[in-house]
Amino acid sequence: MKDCDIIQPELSAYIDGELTPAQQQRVDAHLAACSSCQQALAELKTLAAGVAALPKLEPTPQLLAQVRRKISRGYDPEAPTWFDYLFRPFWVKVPMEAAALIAVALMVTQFRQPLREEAAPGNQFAQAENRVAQQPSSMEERRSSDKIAPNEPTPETAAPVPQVTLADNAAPAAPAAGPAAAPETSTASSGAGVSTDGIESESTATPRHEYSSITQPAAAPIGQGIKARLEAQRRVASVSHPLASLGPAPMPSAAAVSTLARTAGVEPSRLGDVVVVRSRDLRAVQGRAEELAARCNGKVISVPPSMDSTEQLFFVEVPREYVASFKLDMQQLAGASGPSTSGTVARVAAFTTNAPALSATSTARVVGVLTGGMETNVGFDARAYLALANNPQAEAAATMVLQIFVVPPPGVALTNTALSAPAH
Amino acid sequence: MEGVTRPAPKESGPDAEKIVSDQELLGRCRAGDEAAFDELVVRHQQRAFNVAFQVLRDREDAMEVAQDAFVRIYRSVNDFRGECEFTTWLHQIVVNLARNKHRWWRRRGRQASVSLDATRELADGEMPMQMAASGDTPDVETVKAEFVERLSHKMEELPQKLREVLVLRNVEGLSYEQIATVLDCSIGTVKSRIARGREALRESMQDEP
Repeated sequence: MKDCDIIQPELSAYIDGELTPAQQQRVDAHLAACSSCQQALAELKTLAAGVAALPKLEPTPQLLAQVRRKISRGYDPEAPTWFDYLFRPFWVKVPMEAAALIAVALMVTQFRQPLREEAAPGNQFAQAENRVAQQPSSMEERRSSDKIAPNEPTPETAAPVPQVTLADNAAPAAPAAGPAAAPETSTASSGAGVSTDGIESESTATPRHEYSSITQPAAAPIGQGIKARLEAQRRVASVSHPLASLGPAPMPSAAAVSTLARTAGVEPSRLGDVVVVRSRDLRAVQGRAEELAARCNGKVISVPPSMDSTEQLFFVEVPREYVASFKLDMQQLAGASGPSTSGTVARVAAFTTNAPALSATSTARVVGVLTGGMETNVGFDARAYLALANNPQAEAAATMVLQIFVVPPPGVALTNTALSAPAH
Repeated sequence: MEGVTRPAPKESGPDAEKIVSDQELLGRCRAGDEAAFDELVVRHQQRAFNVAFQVLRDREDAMEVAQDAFVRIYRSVNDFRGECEFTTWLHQIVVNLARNKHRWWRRRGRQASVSLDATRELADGEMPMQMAASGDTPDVETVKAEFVERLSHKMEELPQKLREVLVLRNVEGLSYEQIATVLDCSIGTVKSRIARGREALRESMQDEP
């Protein structure tokens, strides 16, 4: 490389006096012997002087006044524009926005799929329902269900329960080793495994028009994941509510429940969640409720028998923190009194928003635990009672008064309606 | 040069001997002295306007940038910690706002090339500052003026980054270190850009005798 090629890039800094002394000496030495670099240096000096001599303008005299005006009206010279909000910095926002657009497009595509499928009838819907119903609700149930090997027969399959329909009053034979005869833990452990059969049997036992009138979407395969489960869950909650199996039952009006509550010394504004127990043996249900309430410092509040003996209502007051476990235990212990106490129908699936079915061998069981704003379009319409529960005053209280409805099977009279004195 | 600045022209007179430094004016601004801020504006408005104009080559935009620079200073005077000279801070703000304006142009497809005639189309009451009198003959002065006019056109054709460094170096007289602070880059980058800018000007001036 020629010396000129090294020196000429330094000439600009040379005329600005920005070279180190050593660099400057080297440039000086080269310039002394190189006419072309001298020429380049002269031109650069002329250019630098020319730039310095560029015409200068005076700003308008109003500059200060305009600055003051902008300040007084709160003007921000660097306020981000809509363009900045949307796209700056480009390397962060643009990829994120593209990803968000793709995600939204995918979601729209995915959720439009089930709507199209609804038009096609299919019988897979019940399977999807059952998969949702199989999901254990409590940690204990999950642990228990996890212990069951895939090929291991569940207690239910090991000891099949007689197929009894809702209209059937015949007492089911007690299974040799069924959950009902077993302690609570066995009932709980069998819950997840039994529920499928319970609901399927219930489906067959229930008048088919309950389901056949529903346009059934094709169920998604198991592997499809959460979308299918959510869809099936929504369907179960809104359409195929197991309370449909109760059929039309004469139920007290919300006003009557309020009156009964006052009679029992409970302010209607304190009424909370609704628990519906399918049983003909009121005393057995109340006994279990008392047992559970005693465990959590709660109490059963009885009301006088209503005019209509086909249903009965009582209240249970429990501390708010125990409400969820009380409802859960009420399900799990629903059959603890054993089939011999009443001999009423079995195989009515329990239902909560996320709980599995009960043991199919239970005689008196919780068939529905309705909470919050869940609605049902089935024969037993609990919305009126739930309306009572949606009370801010009740929500603020330390305890909740649960409304326990005991409903006998259709055509069966409630027995043992003379309630025992509540255990306090 | 930067710490104690020249008094504003309107204050030149017997009282002008009492020169107040920029730092002192800034301190008074922080204390809420509006007159001190006005003094800062009057003192530095020409500097702000000229830098903006040489970079943008547009009078209207340069005025807007100069105004916005002082608004920005007013709003963030409490955040200025005095780690550099006030004029360096002012140059930073002006160059950044000019860059934003340049981007604004590009988004709208406008070329940043403005005729030098714009410098002659002055508003009422405005006079261009003449080149320093050199005592040359009228002929020489004419040649020089033509040369500067051509150079001004060539400056417009330079990329903005090269134009910025040449303006800060040759118009504002900042050192390489000060330019590096203003542009938030290394001294090597400044040196390189100045050399490339001058070389580009030299080549383009040779192409068009």
